[in-house]
This record gives sequence, structure tokens and C-alpha cells, in this order.
Amino acid sequence: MRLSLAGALALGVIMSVGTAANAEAPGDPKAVKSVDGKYFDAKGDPTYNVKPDGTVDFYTFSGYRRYHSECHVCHGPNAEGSTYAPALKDSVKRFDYAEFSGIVIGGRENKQAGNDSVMPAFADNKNAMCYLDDIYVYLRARSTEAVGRGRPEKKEDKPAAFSDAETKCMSAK
Amino acid sequence: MTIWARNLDTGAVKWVYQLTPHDEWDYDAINEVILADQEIGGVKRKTAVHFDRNGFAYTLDRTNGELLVAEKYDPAVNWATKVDMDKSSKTYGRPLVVDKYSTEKNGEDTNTQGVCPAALGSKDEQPASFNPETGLFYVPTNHVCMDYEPFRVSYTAGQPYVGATLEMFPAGRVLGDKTDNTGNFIAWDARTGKIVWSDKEQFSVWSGTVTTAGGLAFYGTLEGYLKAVDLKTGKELYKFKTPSGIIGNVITYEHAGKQYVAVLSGVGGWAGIGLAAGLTKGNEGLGAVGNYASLSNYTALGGVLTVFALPN
Ligand code: HEC
Repeated sequence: MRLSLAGALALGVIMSVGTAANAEAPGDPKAVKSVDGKYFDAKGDPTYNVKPDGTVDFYTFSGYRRYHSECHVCHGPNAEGSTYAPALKDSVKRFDYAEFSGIVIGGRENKQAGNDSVMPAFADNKNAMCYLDDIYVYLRARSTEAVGRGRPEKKEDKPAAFSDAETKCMSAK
Repeated sequence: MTIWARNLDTGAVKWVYQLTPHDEWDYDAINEVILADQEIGGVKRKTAVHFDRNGFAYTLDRTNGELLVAEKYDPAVNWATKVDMDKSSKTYGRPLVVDKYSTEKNGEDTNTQGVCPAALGSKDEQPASFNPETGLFYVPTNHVCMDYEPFRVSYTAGQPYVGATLEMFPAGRVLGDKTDNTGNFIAWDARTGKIVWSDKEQFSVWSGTVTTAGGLAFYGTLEGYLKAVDLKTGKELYKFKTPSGIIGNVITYEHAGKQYVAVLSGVGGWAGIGLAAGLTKGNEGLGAVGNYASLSNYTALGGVLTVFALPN
């Protein structure tokens, strides 16, 4: 289940705090395989898929929605950043899926000259945790402009696997 | 979604009236309730009048909560056909919801399109005013509809909690009447539930209003105009461009024998969020941005009190 996977990843964060400079790069976001409507790159990390007619996979669409309900208040609309928090469409070019997940789960605090910059930990917020991959693939799609600003107009149908995972994750105690 | 009448001294509930039972559109009833004594059907009534987010204007007998009038104060309103006024009906006092616009019936992940009004409401918190001489209410309104797509969400204390994406647009897109104004300033007869006159405004009228014994109604616009119109006809008699969009309340007062009219300008709030937060895309700001996108061509951020002295 995604929640417990997320918990395991939290360990990784503690070690990667403050080491963004030598973080591992994410690799080519090109989708090389699809499992039940979810797409993966050559490294096996989740990624987006946009068809020539602009139809996005459902996870990317879901990520668009979750990003704009959980993250955009700080990180700005369309993942383009704000005066308060960085543009995540650029961040996901610098570090990989594991590091991304770690930061979101564990949060991050940056204290400089009394100027606190706080990324909250989302570990116990299901609205982010159950959709972490969705948000990630949406950000990747924004990083290459494969998906433009605003709501993607066309999307694939919601895969049954998505519904199952959603129900399980959102109803988990 | 409910108006409560309570005893001032004890807090005990006198009556309640629920405006949008089981709200599916974000029409929470945060708007003001105005008390006015009016004659309805030949009977003098102590009424309470409320212009709800849901697009209906309600006239209630405030002594006992009896519903006297409930009518749409923007003709675009479509989520319910009407409020059931039949006392013998099981649904008495309830809005009759149109299935097509029920975000719950259409369900999770379905984009329910063309719902009027938008979540902003046909009016939001900006207060209307009552003029006892004309017997009419002067109401700042929104003329905006929305697409509304709910998705699953779970509550986490202290975290943002939004379970839908919204897009808002001028009501003309739903009405198909080729209009693109997003506001109207109207005179409303709460005894009959009818619009007496309606002045189109390019943007939602997001200011509070005030009327004077001199026969004028004042309101502000999102482009920054303070306007004075004739109470009886709605004819515009004066306007002045303040430095920023007006979402404040127009006030009038007397000082040392002279009458003044004053208003705070400084665009913001839901309608002005795009401008205030630098947002640019339609669904941002809970869908308010697309709708008010061109606002930045007309005004800028600001915060100024503008005071007008009336001639002696
Ligand atoms: C309350 C404001 C806030 C919210 C909400 C928020 N973040 Fe952050 N986030 C920040 C701040 C501030 C930083 C920068 C922290 C720092 O300076 O180290 C940050 C940093 C990050 C980083 C590291 C970026 C980089 O380039 O180093 C990631 C990844 C991230 N956030 C993801 C998310 C995601 C995904 C969400 C939504 C689920 C989210 N954030 C919601 C405030 C927020």
C-alpha cells in the first residue's frame, strides 16, 4: 500500500536534508511501460503520458487536482513557484522520485537569519499521501511543459486500479 | 446554510430556516440579514430579508420565521427551479434541485457544468441596503456560473481541505445571450420578489452599498469606480475612479454640518484574488481567476480612503 511505502521513504529524507546539491538526478521522464493506466520511466519511477491529441493519463490529471488543492497555496499555481516556496516544476528536474517523496513526507525546515522557510510534513495528510505519485507525475509533466498551465482538457478514463488504490488508501486508519 | 433567530437575552433559539439543505455547491449562507418593516399582501410585517449565496432572496417574518417570499434575484440561477412555497407540500420551504446540476448526483470525478450561480454566490458578503422611502433593496450582485468537479478528500487538522476544482465564467456563457458582464447592481422588491431595475456591470459588484434621503444609491466597482445612481430608475448620475478596485463598503456621515461619502478602495477578496495574488490561470483562486482575468487591465492593487464632501 502506498502509505506504508511512503513511511519507508521517510528514512531517506533525514539523510538527504541539506544535500540537494549532490542529489540524484531523476532520469528521462519518457514513459516506457504502463501498468493498469499508470506509466513508468526506464528507472521504474512513475511518470506521465500525454497522447499526441493532448489526452493525459488519469494520474497526471489527478496530480493536477491534488497539487492545486494541497500545494499551490505555497508553491504557486501550475507549480511555477511563489515568493514563499520554490517552483516544483524545476525542483523535480534536480532531484529524483525518492528525494521528492522524502521531502513531502518528512517536510523540511530552513532557518536562515531568522527567516524561517518551512515545508510542512505531509506524512499524515491522506489528501497528499494517497496521491503522492499523482502529484509527482503532474510535476514532471509540468517540468517538460508536456502539460501546460491550467486544467488538462482531455484525460484518460479513471483506471479501476486507481479507484481500488484510492479507496484502500483513503479509508486506511 | 441556515438563518437562526435567537433570543438576545438568553440565546435560546426562536426559529431556524435552512436555505440550502445538504449544500453541494459551496453556497454557505454567510451574507447579512436585513431587518425591514414592510407591507406584504396588505399586512404590515416585521421582516428579515436575506440575499443568499444560492441566488435566492428570502423575505421572512422575523417574529416567527414564516417564509413569505423566496425568488431568484439573478435570472441566471439554475441549480433549483424554485423554492417550494406550498405549505401542504412535503418539500415546503426547500429548494427544488435540478438533477443535472446536482454535484452529488453526478458524483465524484464528474465535472458538473454550467451551474449558476458560481460558488461565489449571486452575492457574497458585500452588504445590500434598504431604503425605507422607496421600499426597495439595493443589491450588489455577481452574474457568474461555474463548472464544479468534486473529488475525494479526507480531513486533516491544520491542512488545506479542498475537495473540488472549480472554473468560473460569465453567466452569459450558460444563458447563451452573448453577454459577458459578471455583475449587476439591482433594485429589489422584497415584498413581491421582483427585480425593479438592473444596471449591468462588467465585473461583479463586490462593494457594500448605501442609499441616502437625497434619492441616491452608492456602490463601488472592481475597476475602482465609486458610482451614484438614481434610486428610482438606476440611472447613473456620477462616477469617480478611485486608485484601486472597490470591495469596501460605501459609507456616508455628517461632520460639522456637512455630509460626506467615503469608500475604501483596494482590490482583493475572492473576486480580486487573481490580481492580488498574481494568479493568471482560469481554475486558480478556486476558479475565480479566469473569470476576472481582464481586471488587471482596469485597475491595480492599492489601499486608499477616498472621501467626498457634498456641496452645501
Ligand atoms: C505551507 C506552505 C507549503 C505547502 C502547503 C507545501 N509546501 Fe513544499 N515547500 C514549502 C517551502 C517554504 C519550501 C522550501 C523549504 C526550504 O527552504 O527548504 C518547500 C519545499 C518543497 C520541496 C523541495 C523543493 C526544492 O526545490 O528543494 C518539495 C519537493 C515540496 N516542497 C513539495 C511540496 C508538495 C508536493 C506539496 C503539496 C503536497 C507542498 N510542497 C506543499 C512550503 C510549502
